[in-house]
Amino acid sequence: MPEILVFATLNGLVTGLLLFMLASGLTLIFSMMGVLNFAHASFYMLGAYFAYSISLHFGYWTGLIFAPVIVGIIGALVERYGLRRVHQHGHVAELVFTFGLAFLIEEVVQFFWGPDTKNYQTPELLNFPLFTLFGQEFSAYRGFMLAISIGIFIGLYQVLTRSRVGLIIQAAITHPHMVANLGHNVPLIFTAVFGVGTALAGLAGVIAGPVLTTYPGMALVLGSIVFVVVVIGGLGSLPGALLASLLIGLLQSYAIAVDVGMPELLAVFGLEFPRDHPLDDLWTLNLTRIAPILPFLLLVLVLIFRPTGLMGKREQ
Amino acid sequence: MLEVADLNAWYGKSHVLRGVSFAVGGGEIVSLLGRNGVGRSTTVKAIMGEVHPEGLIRFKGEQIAGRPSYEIARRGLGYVPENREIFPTLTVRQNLLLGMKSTSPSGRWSIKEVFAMFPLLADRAEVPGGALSGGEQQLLSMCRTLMGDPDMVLIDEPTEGLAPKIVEQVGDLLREIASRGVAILLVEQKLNIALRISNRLYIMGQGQVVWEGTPESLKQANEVRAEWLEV
Repeated sequence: MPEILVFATLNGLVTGLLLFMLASGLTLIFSMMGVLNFAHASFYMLGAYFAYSISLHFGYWTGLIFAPVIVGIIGALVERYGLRRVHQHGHVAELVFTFGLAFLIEEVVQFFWGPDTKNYQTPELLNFPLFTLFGQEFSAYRGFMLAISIGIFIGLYQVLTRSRVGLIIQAAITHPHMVANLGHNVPLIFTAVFGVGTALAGLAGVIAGPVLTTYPGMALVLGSIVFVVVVIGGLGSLPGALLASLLIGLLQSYAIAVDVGMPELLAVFGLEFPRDHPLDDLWTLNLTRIAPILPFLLLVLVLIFRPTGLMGKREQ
Repeated sequence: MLEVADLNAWYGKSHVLRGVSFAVGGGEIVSLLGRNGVGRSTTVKAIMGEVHPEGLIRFKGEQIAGRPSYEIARRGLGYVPENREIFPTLTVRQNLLLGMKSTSPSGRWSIKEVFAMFPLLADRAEVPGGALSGGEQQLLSMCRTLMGDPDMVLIDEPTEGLAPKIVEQVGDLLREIASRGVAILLVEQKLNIALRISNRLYIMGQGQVVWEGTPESLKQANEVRAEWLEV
């Protein structure tokens, strides 16, 4: 049992912090600009693909540095020349724009890289077990993912709470008009936040690509979970995004690791059903099998009982 | 300082401002009066670029209609909105810091001075803005705009819903602002304050300016007050 707990916690943290790298950008962009960016996870996918292509010629580490930068520049351009124009036609138009962008990016990725899974590998340097506990190995690469995510979290926190730009961003979360009325160039800040947000998504793609596999469906799979995270945390709340990311990461990880289900539950009540029972699928259901739907279950519960999310503020 | 001529604005399909014209000179206190819903706040928002304006808005001789809000603010036009818009998660000091347009303090106002003028803000310097009372938020909102050293400020209903003691302080601050040569366009509903501190007054009705004059002439114009101001 202790080995399950240790490894499930570590893996949960890896997933949770990875989700936070995406959720932080998404929630910041939403609260400042009112845009729910459906294409956010597509930038995550672009990060993985760019890094893969760069790694083929220049190695993993070059990709780690340049792929997020390229993704961030693309993100900033999309905001400046796409979203800002669409913005004049209202939020629905923006929503549809980001929706279309997500499909466009998926098609472009398939066009250039094909529909197959890419053989994007972890770097040689990190191909060793970081430690072995109870006979189980924890790879150095997962440790590296954890370190990068924690580093990004600390950096983001410092910038937002200590720097003048951070204060302006915090202020713009609640009152973007007032920030502009005080003479701050809010459109430029929007572009910068969008650029940095998409670059962080790209970075998440770079480090997750080798572990979670790099294929054209990766944006959709992670993207839906990131939305769950942002809604559960409370739209616009960074602490909420962190809390929900870790919650979902750990929840999924524990659900997969702990192999209990209906048979065990029924046994407590002394019940047992024959294998040829018509509802056999239900009686043999276990936690591992329902792990993928747990985030969505949580989403529904949160929306019913706490519509503003765990740490969100009620909209005016 | 500020010249507005034939200003029109729409909320969706409703034509809210129908050719508003008025002017504010340097160092002048001018009040914009009128009942609720006649377009006073919209006029101010249109000047700041928050509502899309059509017409002439000239500030210090330059047309600013249609420019982005941050650019208008940088030209020296300050705005204190009706709902105060204090940044709730930031401390009182941080709110004031964001009023400054750059990191180096300059101009007519400093944080030190604001704290000396209003000890109640100094005492709560490290408290989140959202925890302040309505009156404290109003003073903070005005001081925050002053930190940007504007040559003119647009102030929307600064005394609405405040206790008499704070209303006095707001009035004192308005006079202090004017004494430093900063022009004020005050949107008000309370006639007594407007009459006490203004050099000139405009009355709005149905999206237009319907009367203009001095406090003295308004005091005598009973029929104007009855038609456009009294409920």
